[in-house]
Amino acid sequence: MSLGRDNIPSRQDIKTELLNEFHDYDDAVTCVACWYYLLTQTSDYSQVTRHFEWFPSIDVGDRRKTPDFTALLQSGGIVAEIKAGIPQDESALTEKLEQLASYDRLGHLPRNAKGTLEQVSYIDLVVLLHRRNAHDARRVLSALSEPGREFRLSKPPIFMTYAFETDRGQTKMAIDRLDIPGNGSFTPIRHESCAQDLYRHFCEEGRRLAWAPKQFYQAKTQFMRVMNDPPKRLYSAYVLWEELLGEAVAKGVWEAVSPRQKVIELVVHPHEISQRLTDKILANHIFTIDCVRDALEFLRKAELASRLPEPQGAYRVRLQSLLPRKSARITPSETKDVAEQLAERYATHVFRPTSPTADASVSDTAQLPLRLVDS
Amino acid sequence: MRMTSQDYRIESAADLEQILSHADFKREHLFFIPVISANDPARILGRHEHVIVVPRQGVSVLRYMAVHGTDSQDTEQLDLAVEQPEGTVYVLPTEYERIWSLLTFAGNDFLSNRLVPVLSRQKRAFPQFTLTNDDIKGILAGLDQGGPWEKLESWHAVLRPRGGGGKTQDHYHQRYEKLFALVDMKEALLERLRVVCIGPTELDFTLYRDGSVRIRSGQWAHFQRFLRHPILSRAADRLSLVAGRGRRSFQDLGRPLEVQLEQPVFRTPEGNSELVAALQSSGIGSVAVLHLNPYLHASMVDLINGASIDIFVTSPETVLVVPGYGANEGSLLRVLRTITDTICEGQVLDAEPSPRLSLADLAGVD
Repeated sequence: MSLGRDNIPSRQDIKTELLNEFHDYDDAVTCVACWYYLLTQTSDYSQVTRHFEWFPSIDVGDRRKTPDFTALLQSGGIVAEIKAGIPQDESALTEKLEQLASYDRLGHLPRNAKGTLEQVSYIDLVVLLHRRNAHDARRVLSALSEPGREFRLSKPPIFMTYAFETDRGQTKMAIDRLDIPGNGSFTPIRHESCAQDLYRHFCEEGRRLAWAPKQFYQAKTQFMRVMNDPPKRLYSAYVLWEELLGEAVAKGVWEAVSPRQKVIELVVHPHEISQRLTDKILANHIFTIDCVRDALEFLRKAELASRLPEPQGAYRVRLQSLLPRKSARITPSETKDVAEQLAERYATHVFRPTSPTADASVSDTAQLPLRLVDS
Repeated sequence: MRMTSQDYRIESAADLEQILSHADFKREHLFFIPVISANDPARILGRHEHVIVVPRQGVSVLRYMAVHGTDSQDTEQLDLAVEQPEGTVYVLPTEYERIWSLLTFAGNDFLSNRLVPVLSRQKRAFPQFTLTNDDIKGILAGLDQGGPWEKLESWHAVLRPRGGGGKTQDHYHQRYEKLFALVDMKEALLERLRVVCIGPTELDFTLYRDGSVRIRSGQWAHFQRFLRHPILSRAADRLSLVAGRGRRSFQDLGRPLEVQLEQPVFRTPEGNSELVAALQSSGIGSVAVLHLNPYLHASMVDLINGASIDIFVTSPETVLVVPGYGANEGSLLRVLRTITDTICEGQVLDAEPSPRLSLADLAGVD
């Protein structure tokens, strides 16, 4: 986060950081969708790939491993981790290396959506970085080969970058393998349907791949715009907001309110919403109760929700369309979508220029006037 | 013919047809409204106070009683005028499933203060369909070529600037081909159009963008053949294109629609922002932008029925509308109308699955 004067993030800084994080998450979802297309829909790989797991959750002893996606191929597989970038500090780097080493040692990958595991003869470990942070790859690779480090990977991870590009009005997500010393390679595929494999394409010929929206939109919508990392802050708040709004309208709660009163208050129980969202994606480790609670806390700090007294742990959410007034004709430059409005409200209420040391929880005391309650 | 003894003689749709084929529309204008509804609109409209539904064979007769004063709850809810005029509305099924005809001889006061507001507020029950400029042009071409008249004149056309806002413009007395050249040039929407067919036979009517027609003079048979039928068949085509596309389960995905616009409006980033602003201004749904530039991905919650819809700009002239959970014909018609009424006219198609590509194709050998 860039800091303003006195090292205190400004309201604008907070908003920008939230929105950047939001869009980074969306880019990561798009990146998974591109790989999904590549490994399940292309003529080269559709018969090679036996199972692509969008939400992998693999138990290793008493630990649960959740790489960003896995693909079970003929005898081996691909395990991928997507990171916008890798943090600078040493402990974060060590943590990242430990994670990569544990993925390298998985030995088994899901062969169906139920999570049944199958032993694999090799794992191609792919690390996808946003192109603006491509330089992080060298740091990880050199750390991996440092003497004294105990992370012994069976083979080096394959560092790749992803970014959007536009050419003659057509936008595509492009993925490249980084051409740097020590970068890993894909294992060649021998299968009659596979005319060109990832090894030949990326490692031998040094080429790249690019996906137009027509190729990735379907997976993105099928998997409800989320990937295997629970969304954070703004993104989880947005998912929750759309879920609550859709439900309120579908059940007629919204319509029951007179057209002019565009705010309704709903009592929300985190475990119920967590279950509802989980049912939609058929994976139980994304919209956990903690993730939903974080989203509700975000809304509370944005003064769109308040916490009800324990023990239920429920929240009262002030649901509204977040649309401009009907009379207002919006010009494109004034467009503020739900994400931007949530970010703006959060930043405005968290930012306390008079007491820079105060924690965001100062807004705990701000109780909202209650009007219409549906419990 | 308002609340006359004739209403009581109607025992079937055939009786109504008999009356209409002898009616003098010059004396009393007939107003026709096509309505999309899964259930009989008479049952929905009849739920309001001061409306009596008389079911007959193949037609429901809705008698709207005159109401004085504002003490009724109904009045308050509907924001109606103090004096609510009386009127009779005939509701008939059509040859198309889920498409109904509403006919009335009642005057403007009744229409604009009583019937139309109820129809437009019941958005959930009555998904709204609109004619495009091309539809209107096609209907007029049919009249010009096939009718027993010598010429067609546009007496009064109301043009609305695309994208809402701005003032409507009136154009009087023009040949219809000239009028459409003007509409194209101004990139405007044809809001309503009064046309007079002059010849041995006369047909004088006003056609509205929502498919309604006011008949000022002419024969019932001509109205049936040259207006009612072409309007209903267009409504039916549109309905069958958008019906049954919502997502049902994790595996049973929504079936996307593709809007191919006439202009490459998304060649510049402003085009994407304009689309987002249009969706927001329409008020039909809450809009979140997951990605704005250079490609657009927005998600929407329809505030009429709670449906979820994803919108992608996939090329400089293509918008992909992906129906999610709860997305029905109403939600899709609303989104499609917003796109074509605000951004640019276009053709709506079933989105074809893209052909199977190879790695070489993805490498950009295009």
